[in-house]
Amino acid sequence: MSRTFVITGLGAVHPSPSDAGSPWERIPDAALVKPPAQLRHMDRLGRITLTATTLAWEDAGLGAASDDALQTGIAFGSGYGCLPTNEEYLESILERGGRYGNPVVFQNTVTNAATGAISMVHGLRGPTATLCSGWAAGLEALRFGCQQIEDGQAERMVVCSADSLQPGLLARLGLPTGPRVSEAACALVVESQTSARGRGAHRYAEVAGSGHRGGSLTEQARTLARAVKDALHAAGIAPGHVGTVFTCENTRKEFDGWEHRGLHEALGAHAGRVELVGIKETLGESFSAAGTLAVMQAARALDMGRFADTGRPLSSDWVLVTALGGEGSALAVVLRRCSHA
Amino acid sequence: MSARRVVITGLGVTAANALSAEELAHALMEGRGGVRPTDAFGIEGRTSSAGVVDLPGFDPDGLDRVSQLALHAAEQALRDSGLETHPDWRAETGVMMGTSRGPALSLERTLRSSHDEVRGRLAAELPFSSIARNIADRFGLGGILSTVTMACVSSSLAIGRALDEVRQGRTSVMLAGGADALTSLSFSGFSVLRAMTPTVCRPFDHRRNGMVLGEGAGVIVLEELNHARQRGARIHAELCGWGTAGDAHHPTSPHPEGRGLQQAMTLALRHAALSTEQIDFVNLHGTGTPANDPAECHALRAIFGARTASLPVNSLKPYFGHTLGASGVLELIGSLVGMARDFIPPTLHCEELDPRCDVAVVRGEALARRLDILMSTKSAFGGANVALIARRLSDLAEVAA
Repeated sequence: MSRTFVITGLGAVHPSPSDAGSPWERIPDAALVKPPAQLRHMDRLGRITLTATTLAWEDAGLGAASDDALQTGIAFGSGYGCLPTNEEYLESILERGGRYGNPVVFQNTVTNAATGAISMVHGLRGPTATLCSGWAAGLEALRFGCQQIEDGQAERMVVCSADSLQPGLLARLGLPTGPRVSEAACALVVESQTSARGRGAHRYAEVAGSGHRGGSLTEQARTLARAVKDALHAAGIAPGHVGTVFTCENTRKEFDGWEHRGLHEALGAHAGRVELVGIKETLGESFSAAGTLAVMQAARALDMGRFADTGRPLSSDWVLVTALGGEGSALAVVLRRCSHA
Repeated sequence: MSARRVVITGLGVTAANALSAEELAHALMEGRGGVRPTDAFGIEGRTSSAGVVDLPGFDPDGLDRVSQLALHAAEQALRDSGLETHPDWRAETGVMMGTSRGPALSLERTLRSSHDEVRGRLAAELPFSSIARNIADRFGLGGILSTVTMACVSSSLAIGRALDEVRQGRTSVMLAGGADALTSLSFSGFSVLRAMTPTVCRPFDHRRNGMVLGEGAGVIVLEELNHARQRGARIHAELCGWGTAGDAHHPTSPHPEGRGLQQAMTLALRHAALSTEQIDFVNLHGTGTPANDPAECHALRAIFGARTASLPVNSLKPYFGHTLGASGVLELIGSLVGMARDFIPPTLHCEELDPRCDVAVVRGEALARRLDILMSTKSAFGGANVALIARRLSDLAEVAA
């Protein structure tokens, strides 16, 4: 990466960890922002994502109307996208007939309806992308956002991810019931170092490198190892630089086994010395949002030099975040503490 | 930019009027479409025609139809590329696929079925990512795996992203494209939005009153230039730039001046390091809906200025219907096969131009014209726009350079 990318805004919405107790957690409606009148028909995926992006936008100190709209884009990742809305629309026409479909529901049966609505609210006229590559889609959106800045197509990208699955659809998808499942959305504002410094923005962390690989579902550990090696290479560091890994562990034995074996293959002997942080233990399995939530927590920790929950100091200026897509892909992102000199 | 050059070495087509790139070239040259009456999804008062694919070997109990369409195209593209005779290409080759509706037919079957066995079998097909997954599995591909779901620009964006992956040196070969099948979801939805014509799709014509749906898939093989040269691959074209931008205007309607499309074209030209004077032809989205076509023509005039009057443009949707997430790749391939044979396909059913679409629409018969550089643009719900730029690369001296 020849340009430096920094995270300047953080926003997330998810059920409170203290409310845990149910196998499926929903965000309280009161926590969601009210969309403008023109977008009042947004579906739930759109609303939770808009809430997260609004929080990140405000946190980044960006105004109501962007004065460089063409330089600001959006990248949205979702594991299952508009599948719940598609299900809602299909159920209604199977019951009443195709001519009685609801047009305001139909307009949300494309996953990028959420992306478009958020673009309207924040005036984002730069690059736009909506990705549905499984549970790693949030980190893939971050990677896409950095690529657009790298190529000079934008100075700033709003990177967001969300999944909102109801219990019925979870069952239809055949998802294991092991981990607690949680609805969640998370957003980051990522911009070039030049842009951030130019407007005096607070910089939480630098996105120093990323890796993206795919492979057979029987070789997930190896796929993750390759993604991690690519991310370390892109960041220009050796495994020994990494102090903490925010993992995608979700308490499913098979999944967590891939994660551990992949990290051991990529980090070698150092894998036994890094600190592992699994955010799903407290927040539940939130699919694509989990990777972005992990980046958010890692960026906060790097900014403060310590973990927010325990106050324990970080052992290194470098943090690794990993995500497995569940469909064969694996993503890894390296974050670095910003120099505030 | 010192990035690597990326070429297209394989083409695969699954469309209502063609089951290969060669067949598509002949159909476009002859002005032969594949839209026909269908009663599978008829909605009272709206068109009952669509671009239906007669898919060879279709297995109703197999993978979702959208994956079967995609696999048919992917298999052709790989065969066309000759990669299968090249050693060790699979491990690093990635897949980026775009789709709008994805496996919506499997979702519908799941909702209709009360049998746990059926529902269990369909579960793996339900995520949008199953299409790319199925392609990677079928051909044993171990590179980047990605799925784009951006309505009608899905496959264009997938191609643009695949271009970046090869250009940045992260891999040497990518399969990219898109697929969508005809579904009740689309037929009902576009019908209640009154976006479908009760007659025929007439892009840019003053009598146009909507689109015709279609199904299909397209896959291209993108390869780093030297990698392709070293194995003696046939090069269809160089993919030299792309751009994407949002309208930030309306959930379903394009900005009336096509402002997002203008920006996407600007970014694509910048990415390709080309000027507007170097573009010989633009394949537009051209859905035939009242709002889309004038917005596109406005954007074209804003970017190309006085050249617009003589810059040939077309829409290929009347040939095989609006294939949603597959439209970007199918219409790029349709433009490439024309470039290879020195013609521009005419826009079927466009007879009397809407004064708001007074651009140089190729109509009637195919236009004999040597093309060196072409642009293909697509727009979508949510205000998404993508432009791709490809150039002829047949001069061996140029390839050697």
